[in-house]
Order: sequence, then structure tokens, then C-alpha cells
Amino acid sequence: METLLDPVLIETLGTVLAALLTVMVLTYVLGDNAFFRTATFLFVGVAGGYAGAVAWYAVLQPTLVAPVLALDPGFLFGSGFLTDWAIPLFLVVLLFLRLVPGAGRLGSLPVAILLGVGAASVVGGAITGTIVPQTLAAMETLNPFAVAPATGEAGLERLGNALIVLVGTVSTLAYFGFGVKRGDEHGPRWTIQRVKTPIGFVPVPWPLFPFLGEIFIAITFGVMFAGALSASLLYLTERVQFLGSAIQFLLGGLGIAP
Amino acid sequence: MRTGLQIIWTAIAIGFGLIVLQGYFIDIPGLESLRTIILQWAVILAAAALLFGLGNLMAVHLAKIGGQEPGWPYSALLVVALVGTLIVGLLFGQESTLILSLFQYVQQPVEATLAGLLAISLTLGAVRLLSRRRDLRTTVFLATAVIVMLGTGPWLIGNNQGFQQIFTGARAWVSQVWATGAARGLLLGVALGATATGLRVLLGADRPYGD
Amino acid sequence: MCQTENEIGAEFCRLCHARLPETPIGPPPESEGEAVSDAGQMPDWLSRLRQEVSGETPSSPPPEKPAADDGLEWLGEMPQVVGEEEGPPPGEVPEWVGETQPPSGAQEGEVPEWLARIRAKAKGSDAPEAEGTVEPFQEPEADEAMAEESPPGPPPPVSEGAPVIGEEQSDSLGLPEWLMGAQAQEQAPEKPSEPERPAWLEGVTSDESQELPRVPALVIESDESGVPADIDLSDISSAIPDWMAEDAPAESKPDRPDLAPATLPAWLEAMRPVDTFRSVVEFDSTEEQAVEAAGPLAGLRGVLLAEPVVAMPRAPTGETTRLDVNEKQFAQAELLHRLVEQEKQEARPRPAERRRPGVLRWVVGASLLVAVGLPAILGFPSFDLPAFAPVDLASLVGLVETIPAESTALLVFDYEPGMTGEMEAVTGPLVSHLMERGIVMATLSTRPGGPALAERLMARVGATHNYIRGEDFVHLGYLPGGPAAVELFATAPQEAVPSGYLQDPEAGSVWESPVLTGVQALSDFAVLVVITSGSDDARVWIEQAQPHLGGNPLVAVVSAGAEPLVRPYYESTAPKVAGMLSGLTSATAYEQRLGRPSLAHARWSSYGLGLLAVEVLIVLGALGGLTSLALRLRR
Repeated sequence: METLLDPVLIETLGTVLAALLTVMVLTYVLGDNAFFRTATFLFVGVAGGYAGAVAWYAVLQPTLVAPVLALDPGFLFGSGFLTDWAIPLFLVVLLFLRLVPGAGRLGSLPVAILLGVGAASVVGGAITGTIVPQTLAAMETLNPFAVAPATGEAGLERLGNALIVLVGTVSTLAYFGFGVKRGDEHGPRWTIQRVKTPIGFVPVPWPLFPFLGEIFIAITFGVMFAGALSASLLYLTERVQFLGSAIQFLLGGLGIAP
Repeated sequence: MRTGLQIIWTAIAIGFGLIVLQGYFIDIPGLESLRTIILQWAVILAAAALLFGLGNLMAVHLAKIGGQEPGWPYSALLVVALVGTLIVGLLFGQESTLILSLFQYVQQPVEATLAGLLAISLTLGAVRLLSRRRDLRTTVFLATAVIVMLGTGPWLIGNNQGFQQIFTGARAWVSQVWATGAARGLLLGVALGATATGLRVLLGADRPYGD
Repeated sequence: MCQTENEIGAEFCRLCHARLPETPIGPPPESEGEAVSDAGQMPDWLSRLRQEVSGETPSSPPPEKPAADDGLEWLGEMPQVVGEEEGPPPGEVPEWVGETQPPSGAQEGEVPEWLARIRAKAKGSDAPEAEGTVEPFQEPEADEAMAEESPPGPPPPVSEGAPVIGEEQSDSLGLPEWLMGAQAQEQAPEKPSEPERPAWLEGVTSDESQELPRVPALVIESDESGVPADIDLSDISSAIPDWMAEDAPAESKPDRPDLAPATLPAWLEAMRPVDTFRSVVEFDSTEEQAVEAAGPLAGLRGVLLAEPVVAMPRAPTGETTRLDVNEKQFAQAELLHRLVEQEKQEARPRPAERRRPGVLRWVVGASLLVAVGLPAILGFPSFDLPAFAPVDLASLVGLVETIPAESTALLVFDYEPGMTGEMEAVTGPLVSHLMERGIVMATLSTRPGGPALAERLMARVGATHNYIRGEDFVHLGYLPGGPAAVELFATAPQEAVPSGYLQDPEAGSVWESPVLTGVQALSDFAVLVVITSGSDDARVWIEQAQPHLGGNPLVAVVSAGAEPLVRPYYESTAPKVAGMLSGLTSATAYEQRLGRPSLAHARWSSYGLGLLAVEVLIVLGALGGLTSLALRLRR
């Protein structure tokens, strides 16, 4: 069947289909409609089927099926038979037993393994990869003689920026920390209070660090928002350019010079 | 029976987890190969879980179809697309022209256009933001976003103009210094949260795998 | 009280001998207000509902009230309660309830959605009416006619037994079906003769052993559109800009923009600090909550433990408490049960209301499409290319230059197919640079679509460098399992990836490819390039794989939205990320530096004009918001 498929025909039909689906999804600008839903449900189905096929051929088939079909005596009677084939297959079967009423309890075994291993990976990675290094990085920024390896900054400029980064880190943690202690994560982290100073009572946001944390978080989210908007503009640009080229392609195929 | 099984599953989760966890810190030589085997099983199970999830997805939509719930024709379309793609993929392989065509001409365009629509939604949200919320946080958020965008894209007036240089410098300062501080705090918080959640599983306090 | 049915007028219960409350026997109350306030038999919401639905006014003549013989009689009396004279005290009822029904059809847009739906049902019209369409007047629908006629004077008296209009469609006067069913059950014996019963009552008999009337009353069926049949608010929403009209709803709606489905990016998930950090700080909350082990709530945590309370030993009662109910009581109890169940269903939070897009959405959508489309199709306007490169780019270029030629690089394609518009444009120059340096490459992905995306990019960029798959680059394929899989690959790459992708079967395993000759561990790769659209994937690779690189660099190519959460790993005295590439500006500058204009150049002007449009729209929106605030303050 593969050889029967004409590449030119596939490309032509595929381009038409892709352009059509693109327009169908773009109609969402006018409001939710049947075209949009049709395209998105079709997308979810195709994406799911594709993922299933890839998972089968990338992992399950080569590890659970191919070794047996190969009938390699070295494998079938070797030490790896149990650990590389029998036990994983058993676990996979148990996993799918969750679908069988009454036998679902046995399916908890592979899930327990999956969760235990996953939790250990997350904990180990978070501690060694983020918590310790980032805490050290936050502390090392105050070294006045250090040079920023990424930007090459040094001296007072680096120290000033390092202080800003440090205050941002600490205040961000404080922003969430204060909410925890008060037991009201939805309440305000700070309030405006009048503080007595030599020049009289001055309204000050207090506690100060949660207030600063809120500002820093707003700045960070602003940067992320701008980045996400830039990225999504590129997605839109790519689609519009595709539509233009698809029209050119189809017109060229019909013998109509664009 | 139920309690006994629960204890067994908990012990297995803790035991397997600890074998994997020790590799990050001490890496006991004798456990190295066992750790690799366990991680291999996890990879195989993850692939199987993906198929399991697809089964769940199908079951949900088949139930909608069976119950003639609102929007069931869309569910039918989803099921047909899913089963069809899966069958094509299993029959002809993940590298066949047919399944790659489905990926290239159906999945990628729709997903890319959905992502493109995000530009409209995000812009709309930003345009409405100051009408909905007028507080310090919102103002700082929006001002930062505008400054970063002004310093990111090209300008009509051309390059090397004074304003663009100012905004480019401001963008770099804001995103590489101010935002980095809070981002580090966020990362630490996320890592602490992930550690706490993971430790609860490893200590048996959370048993999300059931009984 | 034992709930035993006793005869009317009995002083003591025939079973428990308790003194019974005095039952009012005699003529029914004269006014409706009395009927409503009589021992609270009629819930406020129900009487209001009836008043709304039937269009009856408080000045309606009082219906005859049958004698009550038990506490559930009010169910049968509901249709008789036509209104409240005094009404509920202010503040107890929602605002919409307190409003009087608009008398004219022109103001029907102010009718609550559920009422419009009920009216639509009463009309028997399946298809929603288009706004502004006027149906030819054939026969006034009961509710509309009464609504129109009621303000000037009292409505015509409504007979309980026989509907005013003999049509089947107008049988209920707009009342819910269950109300009519309950009414019929009570009134059927009083019918003078069976043939006089209207058609709608044919299926209902006084035989209580038959099936109870259906109780679909208060459940507002959600149709496809989610828009009421005869209400269209589009004129209201389009008359004024959304940002001006939506001040009030903003309180109840999430502040995030209305995203397209299935496009929630990872960064947006991260933009929920409270949710994100709740797990950090609230992990002790579930400890104190036991898990329900039995009943329909089994498996739920934190529910009230009903079972132990029920199973708690109690002192036995002195006499047998046999529930002595007759069929009528059972039927009414069943009706009450259904009523309560339906009420619960109504109270359930409905799915997010699907609003029609306003003009602002169309304006924004059209502006952005035109902005990105003009340069792409017409080539106008054209923006100058960036004259200076970002600081990060220079260090990245220097890093690539230090990678030994003909060494092997590992490229991780961890982005979704929908992100190709950005990721391919940004990654292209880096891959091109690596190819220029003669570095062979292997690709890997933890996402199912990753291998195909890798082949797409490598084939496109490789074509200009004569890179051939299998000789100069290979695909290791898909690696499921998240952090555990990455950890496995970092410690034992060959164990993690059993087969490659698009690998020639005759060439053997992908690990036997010339590209991977000598690669036994992760540290054998000269550089690890993680290409991702989300910060989570980048973090996983940084945490799991970077320690196993043996000092070789890890380069992060990330989407602009994820950049801030990856940068802390880069901006550090001991960086875990040795190089960063993000954003189209950097990519365009990279292509300029390489002298190979490609996708970044092709998208530069469209991106620029689109970004300019966004900036203008946001500034205009902000000005609009401030103006509305100023106007409000002034007012």
C-alpha cells in the first residue's frame, strides 16, 4: 500500500487538507463554531492515535515483542529474560488489568512502581539540580570579586544587579511564605501601615518583603507574558505564511500563476 | 486483604523509590544495575500507561456517543480519528508515509493554528486587563510586558535609534536581572513543592496508587 | 412525632399518642399573601418562580386551597400560589428575582436565561428564535399574553382544573411540567368528567399506583449553543466595547484571558502562583483527613465520615418504628425527593458560559491577522534587521566554536508540533552552525511527536549542508517516562533507547551507526542541546542530565515565554546552562552572523508588525481602562 501512494498526490491533498483545517481553526476568531470543533476533535483523535503508535513502536514492540519473535536462544534462556522481558510484560499486563472489574487491585502494583520511581526521580533531581545549586547561586552573588560568566559583568555593576536578584529571590519566597504562616493563602500578603519615622507617620507596605515579592513576581510574569505573546505571534505568522504558500502551491498546480 | 495489599504496594513504592533515589546521592555500586533495570521498567510502564490513557479517552467519548450526549458527533469523530490513526500506525509503522502525512497535514496544522490563536487571546486579555483590574500588581505587570515587547521587536523608525536602544537596554535589564530574581524564587518554590510531594509518596504518606 | 398519617381533626396521634398540632380546617385563606406565609408551606423561590413563569400578578384572585392532610400537600398546591403581595424582605433574594417582569416583549432580553428557556419550552419551539424576528401573531402564548396584559389590570382568572387555552402547547401556561403533573394528581378526582380533561392530562390519572409525574422542572437543559432560545445579548455586547462592559463580571470570572482550548502553555500554568505553591505549603492538610472507605464517596478524602456515625451503637427505641406510609405518601415523598435532587442539579456549577465574542475580539483578531499577513503576502512593510545581537548570542556562538569538529552532539526536541513556528526558526541557525562546524548529531525526544519534528528540521537544515540521515545524523526516537526516563538515559543511554527512528533496518541498531560510534555514556556527547517550548522540560533535563555530562556544555534553546524560568540556571556563578538561545531577535541575529538567512529572516517583518499591533492595542486598551476609571470617579 505504501508504494501505491503517490507522493505528489499526498502532498497536494495534504496541503489542501492542512489549509482547510487551518482556516477552520481560525474561524474561532468569529466565535466557537462547528468548523472549529470539528478540527479540534479531529486533531485530538489523530494526535492520540499517533502517540499510541509511536509508543508502541518506540518502546513496547522492541522490548516486549521483538525479542520473543526473534527467538534468540541467548535471550530466551539468558539472564536478561526475566528482568528485560518477563517482569516488564507481567507489569504491563497488570496495568491493563485495571480495566477489568475485580482485578483492578493487582493493577496497583505497576502504578506503585511507576509512582515510586517517578517520585524518587523528581526528589533527587530537584534537590541536586535546583534547590542546592540555586540556593548557592543566590548566595554567591554577593561575592564582590566574582564575574558573571554569562554577561561578563564585574564590579559595582554586577554587585548592584546581584543585589536586585537576591532581593527578588528572597522576597518572592517571602511572598508565599507569609501567606502560609497566616493560614490564609488568598488573603493579602501585606497591608499599608503607618510607620512612625522622624518625619512623622509614613504609610508603608508592611511586611515589606512580601510587598516586594509581589512586585518582582509581577515583573517576572510581565516578562513571561511578553515572551509568550511574541512566541504566539510567531505561531500565527507561520500559519499565515503557510496559507499564502499553500495558495501559491495550489494555484501553481492548477497552472494559474499567482 | 485490602490492608495487606496496600502495605505491599506501599512497601514496593518506597523500596523501588529509595533504590532510585540513592543513585542521586551515594550511588551504592551493587544497586547500580538494579537501579537501571527499575528505571527501564518505568520507561516501559510509561509507554504502556500512554496506551492505557488512550483507552480511557476512548471510553469517555464512547460513553458520550452511547448516551447521545450533546456534542456526541464530535466524540464520534474523535474516536474514529483515534482508532483510524492508531490502526494505520500499528499496521504500517510509525515511519510510514501515511501516518507521517496524518501528523504533518492534520496534527501539526491544527495544533499550530490553535497556538496562533493564543496570540489573539493573550492580546485581548492584555487589552482588557486595566479595565478589569486596576492595582499596583496589574500596572507593573502590564508596564513590564510593554517595555519588554518594545525592546524585543523591530521598530518602524529603524535600528540604532535612541529610543530603541533605550528600550533594548531596558528590556535586557528587566528580563535578565529583575525577572531572574523572582524566577529563582519561583524555581526554588517549585522544587521545594515537588520535593515535598515526592517525599510524601516515598514515605508512604500519600498512596495515590490505590489499594 | 412519628409521621403517622392521622385523621383530620384528630387530637392525638393514633400510633405514638403525641398531641397533634391543630390543623386549620375551614375556608382557605383569602389572600395569596396568607397562602404563602401560611406556615411557610411554599418556599419563596418556588412561588417567585411560579410568578415569573406564569406571569401572574399578585392581584390574581386567590385560588381555592384544599385542606391539607399532611406536610406534603403544598406540592399539590403550587399552581394555586400566584404571587406574593409583600414579597421577600430586601436583600434576601437575588437582584434579578426582585425585578419585576418586563411587560413588553421588546425588553425580553432582560429575562433570565432559565426563564427564557422555560418559556421557549412552553412555546414548543425547538429552534431558537433569531433576535428581532417577529413571529406572525396567531394565538398569544399564555405567558407572554399574561405578561403583556397583567400590568394594566388583573389577569384573567386561571382555573385550576381546566387551562385557559385549550391548546396542547399552552397547557401549562409556561409552568414546568412537574408542577402541572403535581397539580393534576391532586385535581384529577375533582374533575367533573373524564372526557372534559384536556389532552395534556390524558396521560395522568388519579391512580396513584401509576408512575409518578416526571420532575424535570428546574433542571435547565444545556443545549449546544448555551444560548437561550429567545434571548440574544449580542446587541448589548456589541454596542459597547467589552472592556467597558465587563467591569462587573470581572469579579466572578478568572482574570486570565479566554484561551483557546488545549493551548494552555506551561508558562501559563506557572503563572498561578497560589496553585503552584499550594502544594508546597499545604501538604499537611490531607493528613488529618481520613479517606472514606465505603459508600458512594469511597475514595474521597476529607468527606464527613457517615459510616462510623451510622454504625455507632445506640440505645434501642422502646417500640418498633415501622414506617407506616400509604402509597400516596410514598408517591409524594418520592416527588419531594426528586424535587430536591433536581434542585441540587440546578445548583451545581454550570460549565463556563460560552459567550459570544464581542467586537473587541474581532478587532483584535483582524488586526493581528492583517499585521502578520501584510508583510508575509505583500512584503510590506519591511523592517530593518537587528543591528546588534543580544549578549547571550555572543557567548553561545563562542561556545559552539569551541566544540571539537566531528564530535557528536545530542539534540533534544522537546516541543509540541504546534510550536514549530517559533522553535524551528530559533533552532535553525544553531543547527546550521553545528553543521558548519562538521559536528554529527543524534536527536531524541520525550514527546511522541518529537522524532518527526526532529527529522523535519534536520532534513531542512541538513539539505543546505549535505547532511545525510544515518551518516551525519540519526534519530534515537521517543523516550517516554518523564524525569525517570531522562535519568535512565543520562546513566545508561543504550539501555534507555532500544531502537531508533527512521533507522535503516539493514544498518542494524541505531547505536551501531557511525554517528554514535564511541558513544557509551552521556558524557560522550560533546554538547547537549535541549530545544523546548516549556520551562518544565528544560528543568528536567537540567536536573537529570546535566550532572552526567562530565563538564560538557548544556545549551538551552527555549521559547521566549519560558526564558525567564530557565535563565536562573544560566545567570549563575556556576551555571548549569552554558548557553542560551531564545527569541526571534536572537535567531535573526544568529542567521545574520552565519550569513544564512532562513526562517527567522522570513518571519522578521511579520513578527515586527504583529508585535507593533499588539503594543498599540495594549496601550489603547490601557488608555481606555484609565479613561473609564476617570469617568467613573467623576460620576
